[in-house]
Amino acid sequence: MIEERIVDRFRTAVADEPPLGFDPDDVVSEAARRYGRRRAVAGSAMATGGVAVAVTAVLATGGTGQGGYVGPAQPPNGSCTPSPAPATDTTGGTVCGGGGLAPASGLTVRTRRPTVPTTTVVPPGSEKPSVPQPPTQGSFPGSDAALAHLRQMIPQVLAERVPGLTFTVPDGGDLMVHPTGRLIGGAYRASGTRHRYVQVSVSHDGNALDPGADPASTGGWGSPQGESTRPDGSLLRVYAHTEGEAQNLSVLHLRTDGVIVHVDTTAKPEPGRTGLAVSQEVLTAIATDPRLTF
Amino acid sequence: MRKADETRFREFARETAQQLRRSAYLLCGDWHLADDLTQAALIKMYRAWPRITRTERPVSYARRTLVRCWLDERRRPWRRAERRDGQLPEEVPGGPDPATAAQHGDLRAELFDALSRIAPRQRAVLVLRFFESLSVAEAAEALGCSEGTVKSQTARGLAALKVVLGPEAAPAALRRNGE
Repeated sequence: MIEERIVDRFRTAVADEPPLGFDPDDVVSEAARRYGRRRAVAGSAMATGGVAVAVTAVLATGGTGQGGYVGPAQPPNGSCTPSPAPATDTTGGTVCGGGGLAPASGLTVRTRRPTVPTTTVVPPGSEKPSVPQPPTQGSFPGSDAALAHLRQMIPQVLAERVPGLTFTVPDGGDLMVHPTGRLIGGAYRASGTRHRYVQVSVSHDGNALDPGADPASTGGWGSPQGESTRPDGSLLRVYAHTEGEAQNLSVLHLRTDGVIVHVDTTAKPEPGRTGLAVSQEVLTAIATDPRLTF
Repeated sequence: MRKADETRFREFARETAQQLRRSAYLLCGDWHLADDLTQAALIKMYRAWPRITRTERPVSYARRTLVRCWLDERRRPWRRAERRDGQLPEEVPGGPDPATAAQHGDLRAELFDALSRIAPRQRAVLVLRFFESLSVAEAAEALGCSEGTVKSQTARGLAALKVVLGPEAAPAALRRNGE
C-alpha cells in the first residue's frame, strides 16, 4: 500500500540525520532574552505614553492657556514613508505592526556552520546572538547602494501606484538582501489588515533578458496565466494560484537588461474584506515601474 | 515567565527539538532550514508556554507552530527565487557506509522531488499522518482545519505521490540495483 511505502520513505529520509545545528538551551535563553526585551520596550512605551497623556491633560486643562492644542497631526502609524530605515522591536519585527518574526530570518542562535551554504538572511537590526555564529546577513557587491535605493523607491512606487492603501514597513523590519540571484525584496502588509500583502522583489543577476531566469521555472507555480512581450522586448508573466483560502497573484517583469521585478499580492479573507488587495493592472504598473531597478 | 515554567520549557525543548526538526526536514527538505524552523517554533512557543501547559498538549501546539512557520516561510519571495539543482550530500561523521549513504541519498532525492510537486498543505498532512503517526483528528488540530479537510488532503496527497513514485512499491534506487 502507498501509505506503508510513504511511512518507509519518511523514515529512510531522516535515518542518517546530521546532529542538531543548535543547542535547545541556547534557543530558550535567546527566547527569554527577546521576551524580556519586548516587555521592557512595552513597559517603556507605556511609560512614555503615560507621560504624553499627563502632558496632554495639563495642556487641555489650561496649563498653557491655548485651549489644549498639542501639535500638528502625525501621519498614521504604520504608513509607508519613503526614507527612513524602520524602527524595529527586539524580535526583528516591526514596531508599527509588521508581520513579526520571520521564521528563518530572525533566528540568530545557529551554533554550527552549515556544511552547505544556506540562504538564511537576517534583517538589519536583528539582535546579535549570545553565541558565536557565522555571518548570515546577505550581501553582494553593490548591495548597499541598491538597498538604499530600493528602500526609498519601493514605498514611493507603492504609494503612487496603489491609491487608497498604505503599507507597513516590510516584514522583518527592512528589505531582505539575498545574495543568490542578487535579489532584494520585502513583503509589505496593507495597514489595518492581517493577511493582505504586496511583495516586491528586484533581482539583477544577468545582463540580458533571460526567460529561463524566471523564478517560476523551478516549478510549483504552474503555467503562467498570461504572458506578453512589451514594446521594449521585455517579458511580462502573470501567475495565479490559490492555497486553501489564500489567493495569490504574481506579476513578473523580465527586463532586457537582466533585471527581474517580481510583484505579487497575497490575501486571505478577513472580516469585511475578500479578494485580493490589488488588481493585476496595479501589480503590472508596479512591476514595470522603471524606478524599481539597480 | 516563572523560573519553574522556564525550567519545564527548557526540558520540553531538549526532548522535542530533534523530533520537531525531523518533521521540519520532511516539510522543507533542507536540514539547515529545518534547524531554523524548529528554533522559530520554539521561540514562538516560549511566550505562550504558561498558557499552553494549562490548556492543551504542548507537543500538539509545537507541531501546529512548526507547520505555520513553514507555511509562512514558503510565502516569502526570496524563498521562491531559490533554485534547487540537486541534493548535496550531508557530511555526517560516523554515518553509514558510502554505499548505504548513496542509496539513502537517492531515496531522499526521489521522495523530495515527489513531495515538491504537491501542495504545501497536502505535504504537511502527509508528514503529520505518516511520519508523526497522528490520527485524522490530531492532524486536523495541528493544522487548524476540519477532519474532512485532512481526509481529502490526505487522499489527494497520496494520489499525487502514487503518480510520481509509480505504482511499483520498489524505490527507484532499488529498482536500478535490481533488488
